[in-house]
Amino acid sequence: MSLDVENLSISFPSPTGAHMAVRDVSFTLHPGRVVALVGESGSGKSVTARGLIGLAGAQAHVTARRLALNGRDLRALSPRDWRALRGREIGMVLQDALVALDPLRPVGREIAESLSAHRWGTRTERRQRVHTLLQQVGIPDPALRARQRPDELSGGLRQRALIASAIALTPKLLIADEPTTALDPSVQAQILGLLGRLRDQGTGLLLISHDLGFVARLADHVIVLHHGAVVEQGETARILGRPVHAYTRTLLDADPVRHPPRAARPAPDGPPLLAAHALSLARRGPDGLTRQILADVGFTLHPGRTLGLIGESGSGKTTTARIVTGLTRPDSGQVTFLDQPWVRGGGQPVAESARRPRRRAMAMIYQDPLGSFDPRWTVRQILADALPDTPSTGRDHAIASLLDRVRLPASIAARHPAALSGGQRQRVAIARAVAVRPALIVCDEPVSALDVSVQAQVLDLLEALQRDLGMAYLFISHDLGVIRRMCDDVLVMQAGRIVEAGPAARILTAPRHAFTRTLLDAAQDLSAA
Amino acid sequence: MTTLSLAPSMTRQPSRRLRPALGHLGPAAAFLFLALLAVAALAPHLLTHADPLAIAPRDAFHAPSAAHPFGTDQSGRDILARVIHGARQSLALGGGAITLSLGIATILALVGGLGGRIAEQGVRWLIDILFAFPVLVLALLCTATLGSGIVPLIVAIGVGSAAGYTRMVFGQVLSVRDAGYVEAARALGHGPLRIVARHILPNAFRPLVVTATMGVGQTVVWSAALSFLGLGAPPPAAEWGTMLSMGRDFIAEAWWMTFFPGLAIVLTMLSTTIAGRALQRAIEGRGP
Repeated sequence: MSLDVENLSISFPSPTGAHMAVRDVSFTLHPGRVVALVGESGSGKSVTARGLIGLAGAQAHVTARRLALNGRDLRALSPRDWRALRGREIGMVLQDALVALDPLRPVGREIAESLSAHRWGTRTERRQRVHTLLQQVGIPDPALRARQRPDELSGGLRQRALIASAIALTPKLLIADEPTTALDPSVQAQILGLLGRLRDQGTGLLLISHDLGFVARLADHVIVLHHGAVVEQGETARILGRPVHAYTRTLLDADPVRHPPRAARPAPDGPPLLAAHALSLARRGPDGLTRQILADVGFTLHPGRTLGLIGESGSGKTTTARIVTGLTRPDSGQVTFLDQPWVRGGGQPVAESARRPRRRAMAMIYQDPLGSFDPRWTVRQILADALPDTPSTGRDHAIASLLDRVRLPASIAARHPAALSGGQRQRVAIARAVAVRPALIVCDEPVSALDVSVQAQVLDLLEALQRDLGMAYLFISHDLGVIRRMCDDVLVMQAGRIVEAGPAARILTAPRHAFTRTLLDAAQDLSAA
Repeated sequence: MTTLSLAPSMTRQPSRRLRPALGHLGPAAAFLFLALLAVAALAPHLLTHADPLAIAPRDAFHAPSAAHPFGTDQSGRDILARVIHGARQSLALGGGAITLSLGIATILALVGGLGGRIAEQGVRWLIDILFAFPVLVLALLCTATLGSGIVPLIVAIGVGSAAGYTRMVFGQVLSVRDAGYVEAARALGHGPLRIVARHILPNAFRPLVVTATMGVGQTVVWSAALSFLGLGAPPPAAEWGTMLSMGRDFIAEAWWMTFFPGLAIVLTMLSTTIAGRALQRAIEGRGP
């Protein structure tokens, strides 16, 4: 059983003639082997995967010199034949488990459906099979989990349930489209282990990812795609170890893990810029149970330094950022900013009007920059809004120099953020943040939604801005490579508490707390190439 | 393969070229009619020299002719002149009522959306209460307390249709209130008034432009209906609903007395609807 692909090309009609999304991709996938498609978003990875299982869409024009599964030509298949093939012989794991799973259906039923769609077994046999599958992908307590809906499962369990439905009929080939994107490192490591087990059991894997560390751990053969064309392919060790093509090298260099860690700087003296003391917050969830979201969180941040905040999702990183920015009020504890009270929990809150004069000393950069822009506004209006003190005569000049500072062309000022790429949007957000000349920028996962090469550019930019303008960063990320590169000091959070704090170099090399070690091990698993 | 994929697109081309032309025809006619209405309301003498109230008993019940294109009524008054002069009152009612509606909606939505949890619940209740009040009952109440005339009608229709708009604006304010860009504006140190004026109101109103445009037509129909029932301007005032009501007695022998005011009402409603849809397309086509 093997999949042979020779000169696969996929094009879509567009107003200016056919648009080639993928050009001449060729490879062979054998059982027990892993082929990886690597590239940035828009490089044609997902389109290729969809083309292979006949899901490229009605508009797509798919051609190939050879496209055969075990010698059977797939080019002439009818939609009906495709349906019989998908799931039974080729399984597909989609990118976003929350979207790919029916939100109103228990996952057990979802998995059972991939069985019943191919008329597999009786109802009782199917139920048993679902439990076996859930166990197989490492979901504890399968009888309970099968009855839960996707939103009741964590991201990792959800992704595993999706994999379970893809392997329900034990297909010999499995296509996994970004199976670990948006997952925490520890969960990523679990998925990595699961996929590795499937490979060892003889499943052929086509892995699509922009994460080179992940690819390096799993793949035998790597295909690097750029603008729909194959720039390089071959043995994983050769491609990642001795890349020939410039683009592959760019991708590799962009991986934050390969970047030297931040040089140690002398410990700061003088008063801190920001000091948080004993922040606590509890909220009642929809189920009526009160949960402690933050407990006794305290730290200080000195001018010009970068403090990293790491931890799994749900550990309270973003809540801490929201309290620091004065958008959420803690139950108790206080934050001092610029030597004056900024946020205080309990009976004597600091009024927003008392914060407003100092607001411009603190800026924010969000994970989703688009949501932080008024949809009616152009880039010019967004930046002008952050520059109210600039007289209107000098405003255009100020906006042009801001855009120049974040290395965007001045022509972008007339456009709406929705029409920009993710990297450009984040640059506009950074331009707005530095427009107010802040002493502190709170960055909440500023690069996690970006491709690695864009990520590297944005991180370069943030570093350069800090060097030139001397502001401090409170930097939230779940990516340890990014943290290692950007931060002087690190806080490790778990379940709303700070479990370890100290200089980045020490924490990332010699962690003391068990949880920090787990985080590091997971990251190590992913990046050991 | 190339020839195969080319063939269907060639047959489709003419219709593709035709559709925009047809698509623009409706809105163009609608906006033209609305412009005509505006002229009739602001300067009716530009369109007709006849006096809408001048009686000429000898000319009573004339069918449409060159001298009287829309015919005359039982007292010999020119129907065309009356329809033209009636536009002012109908539009004043429509515009006035919609302004009042939107004003009430905006205030309630802002109070409810930004005034804290108690205000939010209060506005929810108020919307439910407003919804329970039929416009007709409100109109009777207003005419009974304020007397007949245009002001009570505006109040009645304005308050009566406020519930729907309030619910829409309220929902918008609630979603915009928590939007990332409002938070970003707060983080930039902008004051609450500036945030309401520059972010919350414009974004809350954006989807409302369309509904409000269509709402003008709706209120014109409402005002005609209330006048028809005798709650509006008393006869022989040149008002579309009143004219309908007067013509009803003679519908068998003088159809034009009801037909032309009725046509004016239908066309007004139709053109505001078409114009509203055209605006919607223009707004949705522009930007995100």
